[in-house]
Amino acid sequence: MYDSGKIITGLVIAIVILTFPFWWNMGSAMPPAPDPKLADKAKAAGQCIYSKAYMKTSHMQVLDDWRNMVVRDGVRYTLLQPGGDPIEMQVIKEGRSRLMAATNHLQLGAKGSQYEMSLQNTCMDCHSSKKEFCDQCHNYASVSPFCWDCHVEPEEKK
Amino acid sequence: MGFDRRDFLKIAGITAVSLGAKPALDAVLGDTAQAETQALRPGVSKAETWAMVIDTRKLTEEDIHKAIEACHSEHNVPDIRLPNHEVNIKEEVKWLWADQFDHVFPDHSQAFPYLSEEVEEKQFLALCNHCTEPPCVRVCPTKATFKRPDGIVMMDMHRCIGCRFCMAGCPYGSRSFNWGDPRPWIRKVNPKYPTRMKGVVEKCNFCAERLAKGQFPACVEAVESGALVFGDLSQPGSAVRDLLRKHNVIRRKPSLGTGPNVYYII
Repeated sequence: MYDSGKIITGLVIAIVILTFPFWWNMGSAMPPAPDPKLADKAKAAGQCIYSKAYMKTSHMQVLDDWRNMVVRDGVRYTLLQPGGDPIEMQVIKEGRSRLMAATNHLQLGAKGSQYEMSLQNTCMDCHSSKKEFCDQCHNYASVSPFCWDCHVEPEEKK
Repeated sequence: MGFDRRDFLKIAGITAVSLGAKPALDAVLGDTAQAETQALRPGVSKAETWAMVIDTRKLTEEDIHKAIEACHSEHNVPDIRLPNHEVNIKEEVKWLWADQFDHVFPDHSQAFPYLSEEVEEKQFLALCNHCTEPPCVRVCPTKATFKRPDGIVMMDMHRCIGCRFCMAGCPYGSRSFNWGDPRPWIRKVNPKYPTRMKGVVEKCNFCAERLAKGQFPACVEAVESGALVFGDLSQPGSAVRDLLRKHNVIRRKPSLGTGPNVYYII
């Protein structure tokens, strides 16, 4: 084998570089599982606008739908009717099938009222700490949604 | 009791007349009904064409400052300054501002170079005109700027890519670009309204978020003298239409055909 010294050295260096992430993290503990804490107001409410399971998997979808509804269609309230009547679509010009699907997950609030579709004024009203709620999972999953570039997060209480 | 032909004809005649009169009656009654409904209501306020009339005779310098302050603090509009604390004209962000007559109404000042001293010295309030044929909407490549059915030229900040075509398209200078993060320049952030981020264009939205709650725009509310009047242009009984009937008004650069919906009583 010609130049075996160079080749083997090169291979060793390559293997070291490729496996670097594994042995670098070896020994260090798994990062703690995310532990989102409910703020008092959210706890008191007992339930979210949509079911917990749906919120867990699809809150980003909900927010995306909300922003389209509010900004583009000018519909600013959830499709829940006061008094908990069957869910009706209000002012939807183009059928938004995704939203139709989402309405199946709607839960009635304690008073069966309508909610303003607003991240800042509705979501963060109950979930009043971004650090202890949103960031818990987002940091764990290493996602940094750009909501907060513009939307104002509530002041963290110390 | 007989029901002869004479009675029958009488009743038939009255019926025919009253049927014919109904549309006319409706038109008259309908007008007053519309006049009542034009006031904003709690809940969702709707209109076919929102418009504003600015009575510059009543509008004082103090009113102008109040209106601008109300608008800019409500919507988290940054107050960008130079290191020497002067307004940074190059990076200025404004929704509502004031300028002299020949800047706000170049068409009119060129046609009539001999302005009265009063008008020449006065400041005139300027804002997005929410045009009937908005050039900014035509040029926007992402449809971030669009026209709502109620006439408001609205921006979807989520879609804005900061290409600034709209700024080139708008002949009124109503649009501002965020050259940097605006947050350090906002004196007190209003937690009820979002800020903007670096790289998007922004402008007046006729307070769409307030209208949805049945409130008048912030500037209209801030000026207590009633020099700013807001209402539905499509309703003959509305406050704006009433003013337009009674006064001769001008609009900014009407020759461009954009159809501004902000009217000025000079």
